[in-house]
Amino acid sequence: MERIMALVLISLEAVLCYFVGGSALRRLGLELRSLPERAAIYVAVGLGILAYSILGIGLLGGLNWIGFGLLILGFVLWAGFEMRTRGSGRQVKEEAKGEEREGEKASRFEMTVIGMVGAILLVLVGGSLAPAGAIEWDSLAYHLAVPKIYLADGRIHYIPFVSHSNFPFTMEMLYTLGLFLNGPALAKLNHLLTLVLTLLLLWGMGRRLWGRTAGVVGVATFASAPLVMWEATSAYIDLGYSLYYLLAAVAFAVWWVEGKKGWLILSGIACGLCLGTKMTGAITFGSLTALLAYRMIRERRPWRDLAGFMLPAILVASPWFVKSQIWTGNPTYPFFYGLFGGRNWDEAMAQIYRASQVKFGVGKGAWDLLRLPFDLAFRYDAFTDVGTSHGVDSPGVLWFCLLPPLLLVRGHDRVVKVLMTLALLGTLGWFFSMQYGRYFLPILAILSLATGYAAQRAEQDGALRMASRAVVMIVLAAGIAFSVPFTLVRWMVVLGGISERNYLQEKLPLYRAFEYVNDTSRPTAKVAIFGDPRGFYLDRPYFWGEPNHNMLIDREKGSTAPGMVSELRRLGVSYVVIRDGWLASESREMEEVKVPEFRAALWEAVQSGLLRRVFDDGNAMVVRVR
Amino acid sequence: MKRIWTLIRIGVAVAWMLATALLYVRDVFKDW
Repeated sequence: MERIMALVLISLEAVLCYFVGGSALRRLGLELRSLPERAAIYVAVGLGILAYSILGIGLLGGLNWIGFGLLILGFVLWAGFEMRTRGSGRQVKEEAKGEEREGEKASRFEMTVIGMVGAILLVLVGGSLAPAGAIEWDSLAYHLAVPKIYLADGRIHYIPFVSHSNFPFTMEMLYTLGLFLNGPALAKLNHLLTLVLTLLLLWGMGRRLWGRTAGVVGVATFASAPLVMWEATSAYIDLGYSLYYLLAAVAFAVWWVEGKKGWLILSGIACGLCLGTKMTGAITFGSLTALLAYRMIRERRPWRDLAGFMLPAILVASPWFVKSQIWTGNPTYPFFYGLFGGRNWDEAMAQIYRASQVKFGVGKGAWDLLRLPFDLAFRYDAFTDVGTSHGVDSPGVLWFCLLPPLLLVRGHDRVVKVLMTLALLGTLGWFFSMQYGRYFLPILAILSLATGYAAQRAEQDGALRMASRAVVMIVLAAGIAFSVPFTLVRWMVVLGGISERNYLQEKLPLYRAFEYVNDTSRPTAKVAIFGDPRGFYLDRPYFWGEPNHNMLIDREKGSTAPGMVSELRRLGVSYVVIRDGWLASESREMEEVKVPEFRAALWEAVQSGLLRRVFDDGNAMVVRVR
Repeated sequence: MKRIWTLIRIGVAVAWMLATALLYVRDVFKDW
């Protein structure tokens, strides 16, 4: 029932955001021509407004029924007013019908592609509705865990133990609402929704710019990527980031060619939301600004065009960076520590974090750059830490099949040239910063749109048309074949074949230990966890104890058994949950912040009885602090 | 001459599309 409710609520959320976003954008005069374009752009902006409203009420301490009630009421009234002005949803339907009449009839190829992508999305819903399990490390560590802490405290506040809580949190605001109204299912469906919106944007804009084949092949390129499928079933944020990145890029490209200022402002807004979703949105901001400045200089255009883009982008992005500056002293906390410094952080931790971010990839030389497309298509395991088989980290292949043949022809569309320039700049930014597979998703979204263009051009020749249609079908069929086993166990959980509890006990090493603490301790008991940051299922106030995450436990004192116990007492800790594998490890990694010393101190404290072991299931132990 | 050049380009494009797609399918499912 809760899961059905989640599906109903996400649909209502999308409808409300459609009207709110549409109302907010009306003055830009965008002249959107089809329902997919309108749905993608309006809902994307509406979700942004919703997320920032949640940030507002959260900072005011209103994460409760009154705050959320007023927020929802405000949205319903705003959407209702907009519906009345637009002549209700009937007009939307009629507009859509009119557009269908105007355009040519959908071909069998188009219908088949839409059907196959629809099948993939339907299969992915199972992954979204299932509880967050082992493959959702970051969801359980912070994307869902931090919103849960905000809700427990009724407000958004500084959380000293998790540096990630200072990241731009636009998507996490939607997860906060999802957790409040329903649970993890609704939170996760928000991420799936951003995939649907990205696909609608690819469809609508591809069709608008180049033709019907371009629309559906753009959709097929993005949706058939296993990495996209994996992300869509999680409460990560990369698909929201991709949506806003793509919107910023495509709006910018349309402005470049058509010259209507509304598109440039929309690009600025989307770029701000992109920066408000992930700090690497700075790459988007940087590449768009660079291209814009180039045009200003070359064509001697008025500089107010630059302001038309930069002002909305900076305004929309700024709340997150201002918040971080006020709470930590560093607007980009915990990044650029050398430049800005920051509370509860030091150079040793910054170095460890940096090393963990740049360990992926294939090197940064000229040869590495040259063969990057091939590596992304066929050596995708190099760009991840999951160590997966089963191809889950693959960004798909249709872009690699259809884009290079474009080099054999001349006379390309101007919009696609702008898009490819942006994709190239984005790729360079990605290549020289963090070569992490899922951070490439927004560039994949831009490439998907360009792939649609390539397919549209292939329609001009019989053999090319047949080949391009055949590869789209083959890759989509492979996508469906991938999605079913990928979500099968989670579908069994959703349909009741496997109990949620058994699933989580099996997937998460700390789950039983958390159950023990949740069942036996008083609600205010404070817990420290070591060896695994995935604290989402712990229903008590907790913090990460390891010294590579924060400086809550004094490094010197925590390096001896008596010192560790006295530090835990000072912090008011009643229970400690420790992952057995972490405690037994003999690794000397992160020696500079005394992780091995902490491990030895905890082990000695447990062995000597300073800390009393009250639970151990072979995966994790719970010890009492007296 | 122009016609031959066009045919070569189309041939290369078709071969590229099919080869990369099939290589990919084999690659993604190699561990299954």
